[in-house]
Amino acid sequence: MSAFRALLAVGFAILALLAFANVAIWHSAGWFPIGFYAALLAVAAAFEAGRYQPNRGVSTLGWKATGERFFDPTTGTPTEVFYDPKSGARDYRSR
Amino acid sequence: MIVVTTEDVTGRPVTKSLGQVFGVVVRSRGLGGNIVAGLRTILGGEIHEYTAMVEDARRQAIDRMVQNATAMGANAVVRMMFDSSEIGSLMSEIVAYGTAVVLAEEAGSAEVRAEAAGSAVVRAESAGSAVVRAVEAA
Repeated sequence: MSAFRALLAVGFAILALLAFANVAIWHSAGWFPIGFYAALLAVAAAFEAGRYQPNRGVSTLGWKATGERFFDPTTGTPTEVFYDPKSGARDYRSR
Repeated sequence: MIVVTTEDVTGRPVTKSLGQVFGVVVRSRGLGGNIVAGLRTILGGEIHEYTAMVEDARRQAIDRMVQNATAMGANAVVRMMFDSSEIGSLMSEIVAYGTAVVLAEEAGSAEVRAEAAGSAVVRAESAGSAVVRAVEAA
């Protein structure tokens, strides 16, 4: 999670807590939708599907190098592509 | 699996054309990623959330295309291209497509070298047997 997204999640979580506290202490029901949506946004900001990882939990030992290399545009790390001739699956390994 | 954007591969003639092959994927960022990306547009610059989304979509589309080509019995995809569009303004659709083909084995490839080595071993064994027979005869 990026720092920006973490900050956003914490911000929404604080807003949700304040809104629900308002509902609970002062019985101002108008704050409930604000709390609900703020909580929803906090969860959405905190938990998002990660990057594409096609071979998580699969052994990729013995796979052939395809010769395809590139710099990952998000991290800038050199990445090499490997290939399983039996299944046709490809694997991306940071170097 | 060789994947090229050209019509042919140097030194590897096409022995069989198996037809079109494709890989398609539609990906989206979550609500959190879209909010952060929206906030980034205020200041401008690269929107890292969407760069990651499109990069992942590119990889997944190629992976699916290569798996489909392998299932067809191909050892290469020629004239590979990408096509992209958006669905519902927040989803990215990427299609990787090309022609699945079977290329002739490259002279000097690992397989050819292994076959040549195997033949050499067989020839050496035959020569050895001939020597043994000659010694026994003497």
